[in-house]
Amino acid sequence: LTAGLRGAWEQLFFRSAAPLGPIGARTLLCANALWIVLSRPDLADLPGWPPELWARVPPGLRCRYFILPVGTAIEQVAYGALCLALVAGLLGLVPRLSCFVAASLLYHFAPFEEILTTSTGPYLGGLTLPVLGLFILSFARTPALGSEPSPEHRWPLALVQMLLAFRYLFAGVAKLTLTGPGWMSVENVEATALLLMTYETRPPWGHWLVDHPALALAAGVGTVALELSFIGAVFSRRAAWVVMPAALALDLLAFQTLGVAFLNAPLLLLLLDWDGIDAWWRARRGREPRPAVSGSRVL
Amino acid sequence: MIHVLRLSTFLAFVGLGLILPFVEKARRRRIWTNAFLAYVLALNGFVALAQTDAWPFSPYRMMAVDSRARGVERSMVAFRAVDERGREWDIEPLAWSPLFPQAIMGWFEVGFPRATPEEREGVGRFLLERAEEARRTRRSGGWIGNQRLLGPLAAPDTNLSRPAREAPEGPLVGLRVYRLFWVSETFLRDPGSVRRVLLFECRGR
Repeated sequence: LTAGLRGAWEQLFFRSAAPLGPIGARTLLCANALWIVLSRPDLADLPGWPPELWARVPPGLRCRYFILPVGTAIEQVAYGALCLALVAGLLGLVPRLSCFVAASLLYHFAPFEEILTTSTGPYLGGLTLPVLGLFILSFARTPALGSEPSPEHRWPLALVQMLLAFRYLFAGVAKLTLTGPGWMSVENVEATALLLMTYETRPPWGHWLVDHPALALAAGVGTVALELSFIGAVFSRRAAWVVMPAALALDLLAFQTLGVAFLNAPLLLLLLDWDGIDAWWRARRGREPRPAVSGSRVL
Repeated sequence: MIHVLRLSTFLAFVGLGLILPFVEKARRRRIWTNAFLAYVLALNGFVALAQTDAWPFSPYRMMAVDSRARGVERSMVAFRAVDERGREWDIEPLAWSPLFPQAIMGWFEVGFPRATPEEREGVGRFLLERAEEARRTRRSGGWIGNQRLLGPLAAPDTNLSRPAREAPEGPLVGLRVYRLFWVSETFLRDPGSVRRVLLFECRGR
């Protein structure tokens, strides 16, 4: 068993892989984070908001995210540096440093959106995976496009894919742990949709779930089934081809029926077959495909 | 104390990772990489099993609540702006960018009950000024708040917000904060069944 686990670990994290994987991951993470950050241009002004609004934020929580009384001018400089670091990461300029700076500043700025009222972390804001992913890429060796396959190109991508899968897996586990199998029932899905069709907002397709019990049951069972099986996409290329469009459809349906937007949907592309794309790209350029790159099937 | 502990789990992640670029020998590098991978996976496993927060390591408790209880009266905070003629208007959801209305609602749930009358007045005036600024921007055809740079391509809030139906010509001079009460099942049949109670009102200077 130990040998089998060790073999699976080696195959998952340290098989030889093309350099395109971590480069693609860096591009996707930087682009996704930059989109969100540029969509919050006043983020750095928040510490300058009336102190009454900040009064209930515990000092320990501020320290945890390095929110110090430095004034909004310094925060604005930091926000500018964050945008520059993300652009540099996107373009592959000093990639390790730019990823590290971007991840550090994202860790600081991401909680701003929720810190006035909640201390559970901004896990819904879309910057959780970019923070972790960009740190991981800054710790790993930077591959050059066209360089030889290496295990050093594999583990950062596999770990980021794993963290993406956890977002779905843990959400499924939480539903079953906190509510139980009843979460998937028609009653619960209907009631959730009904609750979200409140006075102030009305998701355009919410009434479908309320009016059609079969759809509500399919949504409940389908959601949990997909969330629990998502992790398979990290281990199997075939599973990835099923899971990627299914998860995208789930995210879009969640927005239309429940009014909940998942800003990380573009990061589903992390599950692309990067080694296959690399081989295709090399073939088009008239180079020999790399025999050293093995398939992505682990289990 | 708990925040120090959570910060230390994050700093350990960064500290372990920062060792990797400085380890050149293949065998030692593999050992440190394995240690880093094991730490990240174990910490994720811990927060998922314990259902605790250690952001950026998260248990992702998205929509995990049991909503099956029927006939329960729900409540939420809602905002209305008032013009010079005393008419009520919707407030632009992006008026308080970078925060979305949900975050401000959260302050009225958590911070407002414990705030002094002066603090409430200060917050109310600030929110009213921002709402009036958003009204003027919208009337002049500009993009508001979070849409200032990317326009309609800007990333939305996690929670869907209804855009303000229209903006008045004249300035907004007051802010009213209501608590709304409704029963979901009844609301679907009769949207007028929502009961609202004035929680707070403030006037501009």
